[in-house]
Amino acid sequence: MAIKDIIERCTELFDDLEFNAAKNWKAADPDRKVMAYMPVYVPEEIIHAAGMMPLGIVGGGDQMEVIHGDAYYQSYICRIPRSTIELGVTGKLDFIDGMLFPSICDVIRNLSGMWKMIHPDKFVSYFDVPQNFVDGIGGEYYVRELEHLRDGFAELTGKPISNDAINRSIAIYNERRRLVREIYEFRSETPWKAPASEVYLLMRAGLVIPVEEHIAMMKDYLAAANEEQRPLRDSCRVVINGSFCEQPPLNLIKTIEMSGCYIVDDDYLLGNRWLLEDLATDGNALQVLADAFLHHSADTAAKYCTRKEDVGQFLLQSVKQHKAEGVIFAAPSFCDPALLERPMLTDRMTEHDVPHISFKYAENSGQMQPIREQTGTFADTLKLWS
Amino acid sequence: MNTEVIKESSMLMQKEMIARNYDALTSTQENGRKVASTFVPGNLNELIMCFDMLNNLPEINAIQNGMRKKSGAMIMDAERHGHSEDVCTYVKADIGQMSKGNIAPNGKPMPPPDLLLLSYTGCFTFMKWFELLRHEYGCETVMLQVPYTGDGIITDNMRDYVVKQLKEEVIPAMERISGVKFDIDRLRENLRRSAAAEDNLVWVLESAKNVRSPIDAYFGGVYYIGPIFTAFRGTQEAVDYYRVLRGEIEQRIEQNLGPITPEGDMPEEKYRLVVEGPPNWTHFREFWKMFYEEGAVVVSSTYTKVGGVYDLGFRHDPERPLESLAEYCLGCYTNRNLPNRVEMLTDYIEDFQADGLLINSIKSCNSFSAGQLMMMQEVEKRTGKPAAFIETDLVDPRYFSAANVKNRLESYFQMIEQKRSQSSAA
Repeated sequence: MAIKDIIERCTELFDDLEFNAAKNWKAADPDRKVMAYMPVYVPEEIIHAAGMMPLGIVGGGDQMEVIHGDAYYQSYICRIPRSTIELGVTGKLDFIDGMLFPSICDVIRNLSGMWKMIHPDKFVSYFDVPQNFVDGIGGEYYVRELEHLRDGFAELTGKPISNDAINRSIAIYNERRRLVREIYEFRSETPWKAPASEVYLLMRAGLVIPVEEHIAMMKDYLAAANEEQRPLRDSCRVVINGSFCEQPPLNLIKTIEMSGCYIVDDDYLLGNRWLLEDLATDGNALQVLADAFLHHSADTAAKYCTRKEDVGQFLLQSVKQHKAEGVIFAAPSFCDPALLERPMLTDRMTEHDVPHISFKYAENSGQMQPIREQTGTFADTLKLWS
Repeated sequence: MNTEVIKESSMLMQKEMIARNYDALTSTQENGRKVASTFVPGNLNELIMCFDMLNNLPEINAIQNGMRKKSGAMIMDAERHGHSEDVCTYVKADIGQMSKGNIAPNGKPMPPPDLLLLSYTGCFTFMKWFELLRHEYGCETVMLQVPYTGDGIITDNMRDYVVKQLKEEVIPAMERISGVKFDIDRLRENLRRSAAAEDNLVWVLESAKNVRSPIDAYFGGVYYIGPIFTAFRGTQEAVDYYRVLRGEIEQRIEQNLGPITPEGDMPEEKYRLVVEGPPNWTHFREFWKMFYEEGAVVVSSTYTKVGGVYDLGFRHDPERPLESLAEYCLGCYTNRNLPNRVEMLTDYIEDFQADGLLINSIKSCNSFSAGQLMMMQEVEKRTGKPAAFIETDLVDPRYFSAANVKNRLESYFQMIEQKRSQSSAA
């Protein structure tokens, strides 16, 4: 399959706020159910093992006019909850059978309660994760939370979920993780062959189609991107940080690229690479998921950093690994986790002589010229003075 | 009304308690005591006292700075150093206070904490706040994660998790830092005193059920919760304070007096309100005046539950010391899910015979604020009573627009009048 066709399909999925791919998947069998979730991370393996399709919801983006959603939120609250409410109250998510609200911030946490009140007949759950990373403390708590989640899904579907079933799902998600890693590595090594806007669309597609289809799509993309001849530009290599929840408009990613930056790593849609390594497929599946969460998961501002010296190390490691020349801190307006953490991260970058700039966006930001000027100047500075 | 600020003996008593605590905090070089910084919700004062440590609360320092009109400059200072204008102003006031010499309200420098006891209860910002403080101080931090009660109930798993953290992380860290061995009987004694004070606090808050309420449960309420939410829960001082306070309120009921305000007794009770959300601190007196001048009394508020919900029956229990501390943390107001908060507000309106609900939405505080517009609609729907919405901030004076707030309040009082006349016509 040609890159053009793959990206066209991804763009269709990106633009489709009716979530027809998920609807069609569900319509194919009356027993099928769809479980939606919000950023950053949920254990999709358990949803999959329950015979349900995980559906990632990251708001309505810049294509949806928010009318009702604004009546639910004050002006000083970020945009993702208001456009998610808009999706809910306009009936676009009526087909889903449940929704998970992971622990990320107070806004998404409170949205779980609002969703309960708006959709009293649906499965709605706040999904808590441990901020204590000791096996016998946070790990034990988390395993019991996972059991609770598994049992809730079993009750919803009317079928028990076996350990073997979760292990089989882990194997499938291992393959997805490997491919996501490969694509990110491929982009880092040859960024001109895999533009960030394409990789973003490819990853975004993974939120709204079955995992098996996404795996096939990523394989096709890798093969096609390898063959594609694209010109190498004199762009600088940057890492994007702070965009793990509310997503930037696609145009913002394109703008950063057009201004002379190769995005060699980012934290967009982090859930698909939250667990950093392959997981065992022959053990106690929930324990395996918990171990991976505690000891081999990505770092982001939504997590507690137990030791002062570890703050910013994940980002620093990314800068080193991807030979980045600078960091662009791009966080959504009013994003508590990203904006509270930012001063600590910028200090860490300064300490290690990593150039950086910061700006804010909203999922419906329309004016790209100021961002283009800012990132373009940053890129020029890196090229000329670093 | 009098022009001088009127203070009851309980208020003077509290003022002395707070002053003594600040003096102890700023004299650690002489008294040798260790300092634990912690937060109001999930405040483990009974446990902290077991290690002879002092309790320092950054939110309270920010409030003190807000009321003394000092927080604005501190916030702007933090923003100049890279802290976003979008985030919590308590955090920025705290960081700003450090950059201005970390001067306590008594004018003496505050010592750096020996321990940051991060009680991550009901507010995400707490977690990053203490990471930021650790970034500045470099001292030891111990975290107590209190799971959010997303389904509106406390599960065994949640309770066990908190207890385990207390046993295996928090208590060992406090023993190590203070050099004092943990004595569970000492904790039991502290908890016994907590429960005694809590009984009287609940009595005081419930006294507003009297039509002609003897208290204002928001503006006055913030004074009433002072000792129990801060460094005094579990002390004999707190037990004494609440006994004196109860006595004063009993007298007010006997004399058929309304709430005391900074300008004396409130002559008339025209409107009975339930208020959701914290107050604004930078213009506290001006804000309060907008209510008492119109004869509006707050008969119940959720802010007075942020450091512990006692009126629904919870008491610290010396027979189950650690479990009881866990349940206390899990039950704090902002750790409750939105349906639960709506139920509480609805019940308050009914139980306290309120005319309606007023939400003071705080820009800084997503934990409180996100979802409040929906809560308002739900409460209106369930009670049939009018609700109104105003917006201010905690300690950032830039977000207090007196004219705007006053306009909205006046419109709201008119709405209540209209509703009354409609009801009496029907």
